[in-house]
Amino acid sequence: LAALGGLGPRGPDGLIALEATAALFGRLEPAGVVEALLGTALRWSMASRALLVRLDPDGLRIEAEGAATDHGAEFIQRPAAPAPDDYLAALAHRVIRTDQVVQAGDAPQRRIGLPLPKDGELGEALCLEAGPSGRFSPETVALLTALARAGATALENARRMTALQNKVARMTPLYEANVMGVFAWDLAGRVTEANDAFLEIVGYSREDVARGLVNWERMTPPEYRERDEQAVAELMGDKQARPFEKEYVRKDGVRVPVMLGISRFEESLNEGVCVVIEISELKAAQARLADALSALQESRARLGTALQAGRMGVWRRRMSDDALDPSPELNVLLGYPPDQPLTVGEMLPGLLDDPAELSAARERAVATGQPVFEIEYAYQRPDTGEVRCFLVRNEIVRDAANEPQEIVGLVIDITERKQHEERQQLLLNELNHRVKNTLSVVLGIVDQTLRNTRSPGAFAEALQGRLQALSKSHNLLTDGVWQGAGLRDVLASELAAWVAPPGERIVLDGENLMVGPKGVVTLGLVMHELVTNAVRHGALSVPDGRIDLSWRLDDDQDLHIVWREHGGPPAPPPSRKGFGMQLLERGLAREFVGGVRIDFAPEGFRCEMRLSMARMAQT
Amino acid sequence: VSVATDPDRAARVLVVEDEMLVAMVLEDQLADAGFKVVGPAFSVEEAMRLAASEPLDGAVLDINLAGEKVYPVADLLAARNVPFVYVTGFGRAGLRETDQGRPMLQKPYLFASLEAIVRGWG
Repeated sequence: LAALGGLGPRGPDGLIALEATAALFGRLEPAGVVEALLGTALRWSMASRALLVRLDPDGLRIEAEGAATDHGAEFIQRPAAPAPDDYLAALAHRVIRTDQVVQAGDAPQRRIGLPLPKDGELGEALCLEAGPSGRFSPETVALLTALARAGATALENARRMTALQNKVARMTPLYEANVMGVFAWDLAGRVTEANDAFLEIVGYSREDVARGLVNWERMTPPEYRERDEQAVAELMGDKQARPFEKEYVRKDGVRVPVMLGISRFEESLNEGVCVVIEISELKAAQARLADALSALQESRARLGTALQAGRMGVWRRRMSDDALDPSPELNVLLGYPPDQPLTVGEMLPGLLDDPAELSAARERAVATGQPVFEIEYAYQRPDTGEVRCFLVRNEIVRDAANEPQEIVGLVIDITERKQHEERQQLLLNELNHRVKNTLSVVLGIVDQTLRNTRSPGAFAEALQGRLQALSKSHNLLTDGVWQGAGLRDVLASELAAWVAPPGERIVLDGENLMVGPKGVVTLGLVMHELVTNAVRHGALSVPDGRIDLSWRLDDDQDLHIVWREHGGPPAPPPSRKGFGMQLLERGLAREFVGGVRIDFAPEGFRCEMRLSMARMAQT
Repeated sequence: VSVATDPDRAARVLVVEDEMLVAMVLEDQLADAGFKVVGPAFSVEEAMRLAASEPLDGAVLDINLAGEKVYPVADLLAARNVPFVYVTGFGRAGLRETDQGRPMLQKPYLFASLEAIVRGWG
């Protein structure tokens, strides 16, 4: 509005300026803004024709046109965007090239072109033809200049809004990858797009999404609402929320545990993408562990009646002189002949835990008047050297004056149960770690892909490919119980479409060396980038191009991998380093303490990698 | 830590992280925030070399590096009076007794939280 102020006495009054601005900025559709812009320009300048001309990579195009009529203006939006005539083209070219207002035609000036300033490299111009009696006075030119400036801003806003709406629609390829659940969300609770993997997790159909029945807010049980709000708050600041666990209520009413990674679009505070991993397996493992723990506690509670169940021993110990009276079963448990009299001193060397803890627990119980105390300790049998885990339940027997007289101890061997518990815990930690790790890798890929792509379409396509590459690596790792996979298998799986004889386009040459999980993941991603590049610009972009992919170990245990393209078009260096190059130079080379040499040779792209095999093989 | 627009005077932060993509993201985020990243180091050995030889204003340390613990690096930095923050998936329970007073972020964390800690040094 400020741009429209100060127009001088003959300019339209503030009210008209206000009305024009409202007309421009009130429209959310680019077409509406264009109509308001051309209509206002015609009205203010008394011109007979107003055109919006755009410079495309293939030349000038008329986007829209308005003509003055007796009762206002008539508009033609031009989806086909015809080329302007020579005279108009020359005018628009000069405006866009110089970014200046240009007047042309015989005096008095009958045509005028005004630039619509914007950030993009290619510009737009508003061109006007004066009516039969008209010309463009200096006041009118000042007014039109301000209008063009305001129009450019309004137009850009409207286009950005439309692009954002299209972005969600254009993410479709990503959803089809189905590596994990992905949906587009808005803050109104809507799920506006979702892939099959997500629909499977929550049990809804594609029609349900189309009918607006899928709502992440309604799918969220009440106890998780607060956690959701926290994530939304994080999104406002950071564009990404910390991954977290929650549950969704499926369409059939069953709850499903999930882990979420949420990003919002840069351009919008209200919309974004959410990656969903189902973690039922993890939760089931947690539940199994909890069961095992409660079974353990229950068995402890039942100890008093469980003497006959075996693997137990009893003893009595007199407080006055420390005399011990063990049952034969205790002797067996401790690794002594059943009939050998045992003393406390003989038992102590086998204790792996600090005996002081045992006496401290006893003294505490005696002092507090507690009748029973329990303690767990590790014990090494003197006869076999085997380490067992014992749970000891001690009952303090007191006399009439409440003075402790003796302790009756019940010893139970809980080694097997303990081992089971530890195995469960280990498994659980491992699973938990792997899920979190996978999610952080996925978020890393999302972040890097966002940094290196310019359009939502390109983002979705690139992300889909990378997630699929990651998924292939994970399949191999799962087959190998996450210890690693063969190098040839990794390459063959990532390049599957190209390595199958006959007519193979990529020839693999090298041994099936064992590579650890990190190597498998990184090499999988690298191969995906290389082959994608070859399909776009290199040897796989023409029918006869071939790639030799060979590897060998040198005497220093360095792994040399050579990717050599031939028979394709010459490989010019790219103008900027994309994700593939970053991955090679900043990722692969540094992770595996080696070097990467990239050669954009006329006969074809070539990439040589030298990597520490010791590091690659690490599990 | 002050952030100068002059890249030669930007605060130098050592990054120790063995998950390659996480390291790349962190490196980009720190660079975007105006810091000069030293590393990233993927192993204790490499981190020790950088911690011993590079001028540093601070460090971000992942605790578990391919099965090894980052503690020797932490001790070296402490001896040099270089402030650092631990980042770990295991939470405070995973820290040594002597590290209980140290700043720590549990993964996954928000970059803004890390940035606040790094800016607070100096």
